[in-house]
Amino acid sequence: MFLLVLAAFIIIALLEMVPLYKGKNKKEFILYSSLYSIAFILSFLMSVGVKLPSVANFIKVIVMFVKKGFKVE
Amino acid sequence: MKKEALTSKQGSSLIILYLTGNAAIMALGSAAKEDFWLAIIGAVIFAWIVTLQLSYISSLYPGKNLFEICESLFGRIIGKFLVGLFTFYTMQTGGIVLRNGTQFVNINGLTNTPIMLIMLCIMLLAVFLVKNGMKVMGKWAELFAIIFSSAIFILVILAIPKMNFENVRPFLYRGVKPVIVSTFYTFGFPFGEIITFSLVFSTFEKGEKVSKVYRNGLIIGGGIMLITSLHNALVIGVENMNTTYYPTYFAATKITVAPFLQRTEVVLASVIVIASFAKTAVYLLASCIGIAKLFNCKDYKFIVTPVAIIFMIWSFNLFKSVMELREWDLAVWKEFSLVFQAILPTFIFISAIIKKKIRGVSI
Repeated sequence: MFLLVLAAFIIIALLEMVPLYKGKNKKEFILYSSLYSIAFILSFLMSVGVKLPSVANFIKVIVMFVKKGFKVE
Repeated sequence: MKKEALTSKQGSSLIILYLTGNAAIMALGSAAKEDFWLAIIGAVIFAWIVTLQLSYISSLYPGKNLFEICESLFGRIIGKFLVGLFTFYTMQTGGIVLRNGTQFVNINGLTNTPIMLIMLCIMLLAVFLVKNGMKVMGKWAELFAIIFSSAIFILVILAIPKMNFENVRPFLYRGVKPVIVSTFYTFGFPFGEIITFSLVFSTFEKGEKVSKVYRNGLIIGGGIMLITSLHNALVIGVENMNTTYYPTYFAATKITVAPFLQRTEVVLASVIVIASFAKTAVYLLASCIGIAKLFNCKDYKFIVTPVAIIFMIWSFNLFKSVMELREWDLAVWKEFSLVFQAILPTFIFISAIIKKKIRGVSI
């Protein structure tokens, strides 16, 4: 599974990252690289079976805390 | 940021597909029982009020989307904070939409296929559509809104012999309170989600009015939702409608016109997947525009692929099952959506009025 993820990311890098680097727009390249790195790390963790936390639970905690503050049932 | 202009027809078509996307398979206004239709009409009226606010704001800042308006109105720091909040909202809601759409395919069709694989297929197409820009998306929506609406109407007409009009009676038996509560739920999903369009749309061809696009999309989209919900209630009854995950699909399984014309739910499932895909693509587009705006980039198309991958992983990890999704919806969605779909737009609307009064006509 990890090898598939790695292959997919290498293809994406060749197709998108290289032209962006050659385009000489430094800001765009840095933003793309950062997002690409986040995507790669998350995909890698998922491919090796790490359970990632859910954003929904984080929102639920905040909403429940606010509801409690306003004493809404 | 480069401006892409749609025609009003393309904009309205996109709104129709977007509003009906996931909602057409679900029970809307279910808390109001037999009066669900009142809740749907009420939610459309609320959404129309919000769109009037959004249209007014965009008339003060012609050619700017809500992300850009936030920065112009509140300055760099608060503006960026609001852009970040709206981007978070589009990622989260888009994630739920994608999860919902893939869950539907997984439960009703491809039961042994991993959800991630279904997500990957939808996201590959969404990336292609978003990378080609809003214009292509608008043209695509113009065609598919007709196919989607026609398929829904044909299914409803075929179901007429199975309808029992006693299912929607008595009228207001449980009082007005359940209708009001249900109106809020129905506003949160799907009609209030129209806010996403103000994040995406900024200009229309020939200077066509934004309010007209919203109004047409809301009336037709709301009409389709009303018809599908009535169809569900009349065919399978209100109780079944509330206890089934996908009542429209369940109601479509009841249609058998002749021995050679049955299993029409396959047609429904196909058009629902298409509409869900359109909705996911709009959320992906809004997320990309938001992230590009957050980092002051002129274009959004170059970040579509990594954002789509993050979007997909975000969506996959949201919920473990359809039951967990529904529990989260009941406990959190109403409050979460109200902040982004009603409170923040009203806050921006009031701020725009105050700023206009202080600085005169030009802002």
